[in-house]
Amino acid sequence: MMKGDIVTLAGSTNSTTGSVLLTGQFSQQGITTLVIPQGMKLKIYRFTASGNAITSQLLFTPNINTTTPTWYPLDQISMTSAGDDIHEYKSRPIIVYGELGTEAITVQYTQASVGGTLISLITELTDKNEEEE
Amino acid sequence: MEIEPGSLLIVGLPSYGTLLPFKVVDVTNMPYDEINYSPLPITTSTSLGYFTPTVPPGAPLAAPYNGVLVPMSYTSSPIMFPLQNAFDPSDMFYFESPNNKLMVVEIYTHPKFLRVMPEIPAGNIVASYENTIFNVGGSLVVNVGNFTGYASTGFKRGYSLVVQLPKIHYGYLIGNDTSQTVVTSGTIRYYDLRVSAPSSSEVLDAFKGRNRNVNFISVPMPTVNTIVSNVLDNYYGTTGIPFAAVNSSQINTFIKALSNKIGGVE
Repeated sequence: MMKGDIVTLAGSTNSTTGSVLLTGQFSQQGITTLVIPQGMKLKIYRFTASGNAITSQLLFTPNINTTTPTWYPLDQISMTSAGDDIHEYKSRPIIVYGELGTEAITVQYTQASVGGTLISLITELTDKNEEEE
Repeated sequence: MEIEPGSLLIVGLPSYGTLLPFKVVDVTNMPYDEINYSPLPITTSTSLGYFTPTVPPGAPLAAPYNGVLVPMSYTSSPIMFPLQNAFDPSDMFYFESPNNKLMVVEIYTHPKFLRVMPEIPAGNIVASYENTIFNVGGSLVVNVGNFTGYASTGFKRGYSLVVQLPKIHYGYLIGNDTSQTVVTSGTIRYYDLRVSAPSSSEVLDAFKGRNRNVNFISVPMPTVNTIVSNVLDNYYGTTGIPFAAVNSSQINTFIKALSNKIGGVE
């Protein structure tokens, strides 16, 4: 079974609300939704916000191909003042499975002041059948 | 994988239903060479296919930048790995001589989720299920029975292993079925081998499990191909030992033909 590359996907906020444009070390351009290919799973080890006060949600949809995807929350960061908030899933990462190839995640945010917050995810895209350690 | 001098290399040819056993006399680039090949040889003119029924709106028909694959795309024509000053600068793995040369080529892609499909020879697509049930031919989109979608058969993720036979251009399809636009790269590990015909007892021992120093590698080639047939005939004098009859008689017949071409170990 294939082990994946650990990839940090990160992007800065540039509005009072929106989806974070995530870029990683393999990215030629940023993305707002990361689709999990069929037969793979996405492991999320860390969800971090750093900078101005923000409420940010890590969201999952089972079907990105619909006109209006339904998003379900996986985790939320709420920072009432400037600083850092690190959600690290040390015992077990958050796992999103690519059963149909339509599953996707996104990171949305709202904040009072415009921009100034870096959001990052530490991720690994691996074979769906890879056994967890 | 480690291939050592003195070991056996048994090459499976599923489309021929045969096995080609070789004795590894030398690994001329021992221990082995690794080449960091970056980016993968996807140029701005490399045409793209898509893992979707139709080309997504706005998606390019060719790679937008060198080494870049856009979301849900694959190289629709096989790519080769150019290298200046190689025997064929457009394909670093291509060789014609000496007759007793073989290469074993491993390709690791970065990121690892990239899909890789070797084509032997270039253009001979592997994407099929049990070969005879359906073969998707030039299109990777299939609609068979209850299954509709893109064919992932033939594609591995992140890794390819082939035995490079002489005088054949191998091609590779590289795919990206994620929503990311990715910059690709790879690591190539190759073994430049000199081989000879093994003795029949060595081959029998390998099949009986008495010889542990054996590498079995099946060449992903779904159909009999004239170019390959000519190479087998010219270089080895045989298409190999039939799967159905791995016995002393068949092995001796094969080894005699092979040793006439590349020399043998008795």
